[in-house]
Amino acid sequence: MSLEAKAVSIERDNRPIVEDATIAIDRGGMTALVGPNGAGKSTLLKALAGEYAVTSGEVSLDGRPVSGLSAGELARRRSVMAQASSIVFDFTVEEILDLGWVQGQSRNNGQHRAATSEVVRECRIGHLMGRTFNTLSGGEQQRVQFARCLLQVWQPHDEVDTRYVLLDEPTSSLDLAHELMVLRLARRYAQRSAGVLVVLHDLNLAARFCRNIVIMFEGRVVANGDPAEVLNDALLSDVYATEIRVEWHEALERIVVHA
Amino acid sequence: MNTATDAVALAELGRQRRARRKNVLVLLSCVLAAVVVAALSTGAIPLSLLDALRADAERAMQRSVLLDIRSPRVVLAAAVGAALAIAGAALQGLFRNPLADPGLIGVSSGAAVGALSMIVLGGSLVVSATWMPYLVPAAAVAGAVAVTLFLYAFARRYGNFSVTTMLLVGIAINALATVAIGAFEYLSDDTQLRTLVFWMMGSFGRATWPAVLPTLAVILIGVVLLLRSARSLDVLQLGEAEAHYVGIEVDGLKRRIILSAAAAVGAGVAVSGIIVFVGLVVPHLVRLLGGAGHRYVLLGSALLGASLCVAADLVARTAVVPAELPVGLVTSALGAPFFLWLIARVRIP
Ligand SMILES: Nc1ncnc2c1ncn2[C@@H]1O[C@H](COP(=O)(O)OP(=O)(O)OP(=O)(O)O)[C@@H](O)[C@H]1O
Ligand SMILES: [Mg+2]
Repeated sequence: MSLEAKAVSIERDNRPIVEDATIAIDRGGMTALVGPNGAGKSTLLKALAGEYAVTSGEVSLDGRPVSGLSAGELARRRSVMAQASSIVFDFTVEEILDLGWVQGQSRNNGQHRAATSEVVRECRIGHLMGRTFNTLSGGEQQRVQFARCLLQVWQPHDEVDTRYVLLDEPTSSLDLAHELMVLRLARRYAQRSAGVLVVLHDLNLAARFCRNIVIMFEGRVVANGDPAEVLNDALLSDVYATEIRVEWHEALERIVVHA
Repeated sequence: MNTATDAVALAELGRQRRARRKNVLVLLSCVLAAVVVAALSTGAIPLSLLDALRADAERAMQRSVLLDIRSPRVVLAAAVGAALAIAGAALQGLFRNPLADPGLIGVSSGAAVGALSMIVLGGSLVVSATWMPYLVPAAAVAGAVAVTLFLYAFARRYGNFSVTTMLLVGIAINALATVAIGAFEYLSDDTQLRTLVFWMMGSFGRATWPAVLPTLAVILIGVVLLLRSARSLDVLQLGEAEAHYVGIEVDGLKRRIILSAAAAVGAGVAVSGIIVFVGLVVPHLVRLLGGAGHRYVLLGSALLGASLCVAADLVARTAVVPAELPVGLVTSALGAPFFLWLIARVRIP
């Protein structure tokens, strides 16, 4: 049971962006997707989300091709936080969170309110709820979008189906405390037997929070596996074209990556 | 208000928002009722509503003025105002662009060209004259749909459709429409020309029940369909991709909104000509009063748009008695300065 891309190639504007990429998001832990700017991470994530069509290969959710699932079916099974988004009109934060509910789900009942307040508390955005979204700082907006994304798949599963969360650089505007908060929350969510994919640029965070790391480079998956195996000096220095050192930090008891 | 982490405080926030919106909607309904009563009672022949409805022979003339002349006109003004405003609100939501107005972006012009082509060229079609009252609105709707689809395809083809691009494309479409309309002027005979000119500036002066009722029906259908898309329009504000992530079939939604908005605008334009700015001004005011949720904005826009057009028509037909101003003149006199203010206020990228 997983959300997986098998030998997927994606073209945009007749240009190959992703080539022959294979990746599986298993439940119970987080998978990190890392790589330099323009490597194709967001593109692959959108294909996993069922947004982009693939030119070859297949994306499947628990064995069913995503291209055959309706928007509604997909929405009940996976949520997505995009890398960037903006909202034109002046909605309040409370309204934005309300939009996280899948179309057709009953809202405004006790269960719905309990789930919302739980997510709001976990994401520490209670003090923002009455504010206009557009007046929030970049990091505050990002936390609200993260909360909305979690809320979409938060409620106790009425089916036994696994749920998946795809996060495209969810911490890019956050201070270091909120960065940790978001990743802890995402990992805890994954441990409720969900699958979480997170695109990150910070390799230290990827190593610290993720069970599995996938490295992309020029549209291809060049490494995929356990952080300790995948993060090595030679490969990283090559992919990022920069001198990079990976060490085991005794006191912290985790891998650290220096550029 | 500082933190709303518990369910009770959250529910309270939602309750406050809904209560405020309900109050605004009640207020707007009262305004509409007042404006309608004023419009029915005022005119060349002053009359009192209650008196005129009393069934005695002396009042027959007053009653006929009220029921056969003023009522269809007020109903038409209200329906067209509601249609333009709700279509403006829906197109703004669809294009995620606060400056979209059916008049400014060329949708009304498209409807005008459609209707005109039927008025001027329709005579040569081999259909019986009884169909003409339906063919003109149908052609107007087709014109409005064609322009909206074109705008949409253009937006899609050239990526991000910024506020400025949309207005520029609107200028181009309106210019093209002017060319087409000029050509029709050249082709039309004298009587056609007179209706054509007056019609280009917008007027509710040609309201009779037989013309108003089909228009009303189409507008009503458009309004209902748009209201039903309200929540999806809200979700669309997150972005098209995001709306899909949340479970919206985005293409279907867009088709529904384009068709219903264009149908409402086209049906209105077919009988009352081009009236700009209503679709721009009204949704903006409604948002200022109670926020951006589309169920509220669409409903509020319909109510306020109806009031605005009924009031503007009242001014148009009483300001220079015995002559009459085109109502488009009145709405533009109000709308154009507002548009300038809005441009200054909206952050144009
Ligand atoms: N719609 C598109 N049309 C054409 N090219 C595209 C499109 N989307 C992405 N690309 C190109 O595909 C490549 C990969 O883009 P993608 O957004 O997947 O990169 P990324 O790995 O997410 O990068 P970043 O770390 O900067 O977010 C880039 O070179 C980009 O210019
Ligand atoms: Mg990216």
